[in-house]
Amino acid sequence: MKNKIILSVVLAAMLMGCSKEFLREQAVTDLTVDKLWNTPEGLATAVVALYAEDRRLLRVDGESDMWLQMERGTDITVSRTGSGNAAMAQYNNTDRQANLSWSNTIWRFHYNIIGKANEVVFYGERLGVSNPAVARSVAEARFFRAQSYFWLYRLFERIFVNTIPTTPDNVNDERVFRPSTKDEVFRLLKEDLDFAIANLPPSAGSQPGRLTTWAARHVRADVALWDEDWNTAITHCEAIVTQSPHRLIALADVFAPNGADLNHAEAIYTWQWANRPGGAPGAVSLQGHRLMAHYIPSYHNATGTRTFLNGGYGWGRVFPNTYMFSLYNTPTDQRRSLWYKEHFIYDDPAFQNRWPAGTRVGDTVKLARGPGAFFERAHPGCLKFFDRVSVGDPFSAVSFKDVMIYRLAETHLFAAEAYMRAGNQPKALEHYNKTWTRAGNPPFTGTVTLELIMDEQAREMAFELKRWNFLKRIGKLAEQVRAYTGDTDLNAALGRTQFRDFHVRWPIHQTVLDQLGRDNFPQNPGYN
Amino acid sequence: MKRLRFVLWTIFATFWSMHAVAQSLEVTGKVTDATGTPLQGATVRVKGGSAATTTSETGNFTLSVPQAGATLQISYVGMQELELRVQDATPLSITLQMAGSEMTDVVVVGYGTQRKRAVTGAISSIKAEDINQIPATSVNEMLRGQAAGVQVRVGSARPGGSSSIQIRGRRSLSAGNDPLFILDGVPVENIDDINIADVESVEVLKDANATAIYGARAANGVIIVTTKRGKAGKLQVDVSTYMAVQQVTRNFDFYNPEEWAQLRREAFRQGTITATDPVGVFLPDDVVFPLALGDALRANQSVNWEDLMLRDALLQKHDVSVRMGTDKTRFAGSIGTFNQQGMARNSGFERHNLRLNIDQKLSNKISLGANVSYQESNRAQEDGSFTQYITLPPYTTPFDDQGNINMIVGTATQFNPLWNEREAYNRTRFRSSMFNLFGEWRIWGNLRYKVNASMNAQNSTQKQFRSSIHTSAMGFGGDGSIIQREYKDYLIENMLMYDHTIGKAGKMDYLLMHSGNEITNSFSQLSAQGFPNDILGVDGIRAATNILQPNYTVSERRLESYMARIRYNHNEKYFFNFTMRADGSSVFGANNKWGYFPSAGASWLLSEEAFIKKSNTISNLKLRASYGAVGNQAISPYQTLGVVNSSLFLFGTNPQPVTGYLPGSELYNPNLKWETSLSTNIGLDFGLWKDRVTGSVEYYDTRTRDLLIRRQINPILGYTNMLVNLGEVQNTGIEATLHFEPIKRKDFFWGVDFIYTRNRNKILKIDGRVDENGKPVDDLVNNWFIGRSANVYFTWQPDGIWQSKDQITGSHMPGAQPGDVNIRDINGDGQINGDDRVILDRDPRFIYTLRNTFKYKGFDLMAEIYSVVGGVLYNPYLIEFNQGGSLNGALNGVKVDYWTPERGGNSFPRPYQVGNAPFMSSLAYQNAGFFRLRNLTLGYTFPKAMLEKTRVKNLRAYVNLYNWITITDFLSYSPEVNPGAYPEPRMIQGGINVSF
Repeated sequence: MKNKIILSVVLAAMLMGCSKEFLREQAVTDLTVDKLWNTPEGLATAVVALYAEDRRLLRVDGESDMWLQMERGTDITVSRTGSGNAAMAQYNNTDRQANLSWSNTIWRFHYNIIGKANEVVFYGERLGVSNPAVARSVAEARFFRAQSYFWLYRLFERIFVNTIPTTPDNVNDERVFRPSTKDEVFRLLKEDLDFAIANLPPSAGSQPGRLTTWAARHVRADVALWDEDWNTAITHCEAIVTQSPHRLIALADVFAPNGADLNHAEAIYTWQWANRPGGAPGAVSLQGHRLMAHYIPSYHNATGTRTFLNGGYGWGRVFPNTYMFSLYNTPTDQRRSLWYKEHFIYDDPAFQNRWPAGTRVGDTVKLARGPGAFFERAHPGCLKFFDRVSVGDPFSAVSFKDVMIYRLAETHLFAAEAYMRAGNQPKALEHYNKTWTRAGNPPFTGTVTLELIMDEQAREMAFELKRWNFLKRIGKLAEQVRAYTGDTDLNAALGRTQFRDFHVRWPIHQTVLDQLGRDNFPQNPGYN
Repeated sequence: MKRLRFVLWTIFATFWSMHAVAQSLEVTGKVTDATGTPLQGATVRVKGGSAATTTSETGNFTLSVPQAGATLQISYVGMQELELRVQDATPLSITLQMAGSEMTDVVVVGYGTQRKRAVTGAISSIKAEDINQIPATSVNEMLRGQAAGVQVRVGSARPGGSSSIQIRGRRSLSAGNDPLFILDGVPVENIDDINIADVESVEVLKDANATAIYGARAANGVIIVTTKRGKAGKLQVDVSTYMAVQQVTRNFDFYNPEEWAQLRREAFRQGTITATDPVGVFLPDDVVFPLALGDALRANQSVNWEDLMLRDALLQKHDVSVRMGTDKTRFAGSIGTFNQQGMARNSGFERHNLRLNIDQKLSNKISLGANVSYQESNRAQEDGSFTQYITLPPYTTPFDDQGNINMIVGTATQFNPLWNEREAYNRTRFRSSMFNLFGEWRIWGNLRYKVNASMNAQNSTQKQFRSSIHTSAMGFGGDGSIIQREYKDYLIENMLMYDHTIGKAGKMDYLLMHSGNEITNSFSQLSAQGFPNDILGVDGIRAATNILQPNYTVSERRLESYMARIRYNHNEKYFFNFTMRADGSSVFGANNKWGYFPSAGASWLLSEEAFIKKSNTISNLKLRASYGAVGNQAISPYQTLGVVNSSLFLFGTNPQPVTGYLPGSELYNPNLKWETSLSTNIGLDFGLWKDRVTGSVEYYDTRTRDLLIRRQINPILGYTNMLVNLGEVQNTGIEATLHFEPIKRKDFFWGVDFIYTRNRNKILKIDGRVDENGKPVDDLVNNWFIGRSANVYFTWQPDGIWQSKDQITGSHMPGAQPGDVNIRDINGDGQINGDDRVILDRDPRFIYTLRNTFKYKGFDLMAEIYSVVGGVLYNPYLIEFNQGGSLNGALNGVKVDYWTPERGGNSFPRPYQVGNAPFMSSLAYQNAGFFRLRNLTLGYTFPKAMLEKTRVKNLRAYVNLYNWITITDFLSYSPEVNPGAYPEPRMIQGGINVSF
């Protein structure tokens, strides 16, 4: 009997099994999406993560190479080496095709931001934008969405505008992916940015680097220029110039050669970097960017070692070319001397055995201009990203210096161009002279022309990721690249002969075509 | 889990409160073998009742039976079971007869053991005596080439590294393909740390009928490891020890210093070509060889980095085990130590094992047992990578004039690995303890209840440190991390078992089981930069000035299962085996937690049929067939929930960052469900000419459905992938295990073993999409093609090197330069694009092992050949910059016959100064098949006569060559190791086994 009772207990225990709770899953150390989208506070944290996504462009590859690809192949640069050199700087038709990995990287990078922004916008609207906190979050998300679509449009033109948040329920819905028209793209850009202008605060407050209504106006002005809507561009530029706290600061301080923080009065939007938690991607091991190294030559191969005096860490991938320097055509223009390093010094006697016979400390590296040693070791380089503060050692390529994205100098250039196009010469001249005189030049008094603005844009904005888009917008890309890209005496001017008219658009990547279907979504013209 | 623990304790409490029932007739007797030697430990049971006992040292027993006329069953391992009616209390004299091996060979199956002849599924069994012939570092390694259908690959050859096992090919695309490991009845995560010296047998369960009782996790097969247990009888002590020397070996040459310098000159020369000068000019050496490279070249000072950084390394293993027992208590204990020096300096591994297996009989009805094991290991990992060590240029300066270590040895980014190795350490201390308690209660008659409970706790502490002058940490004032990992695994299983006979010849047995399992992993990391000094290393982290964000993650998974098994044995000729299992796993969607996995198997022992029994040729013949379903749940937890990533963001120079949350690039899937494999198996076991030839042949066909696939989704949607259930994959294969004994004499024995494995993998369905012609659409993004293996490359096919402009003009590659790779225009459309790619199979065509064993008097000689035939592998040594394969002259690497304008050459392209020649990667796909003399062992067993005067019972000494000769086209350190990883050594080993 006793046995039977025990057996019954055992059987009952076995058959009852564990409680239903036993198999229910609950994440212990992670939040789940529902916590994000159901409260204004959750939404606000999602938007903070969008800032991190935006900055991550410099870490989508190990060497901040994606950035460099959008800088290569303009009229003012000469590319020496590094991946993408052939495809992007030399416009080599074998490398610049559907298998161009940079096309894939940038496409995914921006559509990731767009996808996440779509969710913030959707769930924010569900919470109600009458709540000012929600409205600000939605405004920030719409800014990032517009900025990413704007980039994609300028690089590819043939893109698909998607504003629907993706969920497990709708991911398999049948969709026809066809290229969106320019109108569809620009309608979204304008709506998003206008909402951002209306709902972003006038000041970043205690959070330097946070988006303001002025940042949205700046991008909106650029969109208007692409749309040839000169008056709208003027409206937004004037609003920034007259109503915002932004002003031009001393030329020498714009890129803070002795600092790593660029949140000053001229900066409208900067990527925030710092060698502290939250200052860079990577939680336990911070991943700095590599912008400095791209533009400094490998002078150490001549001087024997790397020092901050000579510019710190250098890979020497892209340099200002002869044409670029020819644009600094007045002796008064200080931008050439402040923003470029043209001479390198034998400075560390410990490496004297590697110096030419008779060289003394303080002598300048003298190499004959040409494609060999000079190009690698003594070519002038750009100092806009030079950093000796967040970089602990000149042998470390890693930098945590802020990166300038939008600044007031460019707003003035937008304004000068818009007024010029609209026929208002006095106002065009006024804005043109803002950057021109700040550089140390006497005021310009002649007629403002597109050529003049094109040259000033190069002098002021070189290496800030602006030139390629600017030339494309004003329709001068092909002409300028064919005439000036690279340098013939450095044997680095293949881009001039290999540029084809269809190169004003990047090729769409094969995986994208595979996924969208070539029939609905054909490759950009000219590419296989 | 609370409920589980409650049940567990209730059950244990129940055991203690029980006592035996009253008895009525006292029977005594003595059990002996045919020669009259008393048998100790023979079991004497009352048939159909619960009373039982075992014989003493003198073979005597006393047992109470309910009444006269009861039947006694007397059994002893290796003897035929005997039944005897008891009439009165007269002392019995019982003689047991030796059983034929086919009658008594026992294999371990899921939840118990089974006589080999009754097995219906596909099971490979490997016994201790075979295992101990060859020293191996782990159970996985030991299995290599020993069981048909089992493919073992080196996961990491570094000291303390592990191997991965695949049984019958790769079924799952995105979920795990590891088999389930069962250690003494307890599922464990891996068997890497088990001491081989403790292993009694290893069983590999391959088909659905064998594995389905482990339904949930059995899709990739099951490996059951059984450790040695004590036996009633005399004390036995075994001591074994071996030492080995590990050597690095390779089948390629590096460039010698002058050849390397010339390669670099050629690469720089390519950088000078222009439209008008396609040949280019050689640049002066001071341009080509900057900094330390120039210093070394001028001084003609070169380094063999392989010699400098790698060394012959010692490996040793020592084990002592003790086994003893009485009829009530049996005990087996062992301690072992294993020490493996790394071939790379500063790398090494040591492990200490402790194990205690106890079996205790509390009464005739109740027995209890416990297995306790503890391992502790320490691992040191070298700084940087093995590849970095060997690919530094030969013209470099590791030491200055005074013999001090230089920081930079070549160009400004070529740092001295000797320097960094001095300034860094990376050490992991790992501890694992496992407690396994089990008890059995014979409730009444043949009804038994069994409980099995275990707890496995593992934790490790990893300490990494790089000083302030280490080249990767010098910008930050040194950096360091302390990483803690914890793993906890609880299991409880309750089982009810019953067996009875049907009529004269039928035997049925039943098993009902319920189990609950909970596994928790946790990870925490503390990292810092800015160490004020190097004195304390990372242990001084408290004083570091820049404490980085701490990391802490926990993941839990739970599994609940019900299982029923019915076995029927008809007349020892026909065997049937039915199982049904239901598993609930926490990792699946709320409505898809449960999966149901039935199986059925049958076997027919033809050799018991009269028409074969008469035959002198056929000594054993058995046909087996089975069909069943098993499941796969090997995905990470929380994938159905939509967890979000957190990241910090610091605005301006604010002191505090703010936290951001967003989903990652993978879209969650609340509807995930089980991946199911349906498998058919047909097997034939045979023995011919009195078992001078034995073997088995298997054929199987496995279809895996609802595959857990990490599928690429259109990035326009903002996510790039999602784990889904999709498609169908088929694995078919043939396995053969053959054993021949051509010579079997008293003094001389020759045995041959041949093991053959062939598996074909085929994708039957992806997502069901079809093109306009109704043809299923391939998935180019994931390289999945209908009708092909899931494990393929998709790439262009090289066709030599372009030699001249004339050859290029008007060809299908008009943009090529002389010296570039010529790609075959597969579709003949006059141009090269994505449509010219071909599919290359990565799977081997077949694998075989051929082993010859000779024994002459005390000597034994064993030679084992292991060969993998076919299969293509991408070889980064031939293409990747970091592996020295990119022909840039930046690093040293595998020497190839590259093209130059003067010399020509048709195998490798012209060296490029930057990047690769276009399509050069197409040259990196090599046949990775190999033929290897895996083991050559010469042993000597000392004759018993010589040992008689000592206490030594058995003494054997041996020497062994391991992986000594490898023949392959694949240029690397070993075709079995992932190229670029820590190399697999060849070894010469020697050892002694002693028993007392």
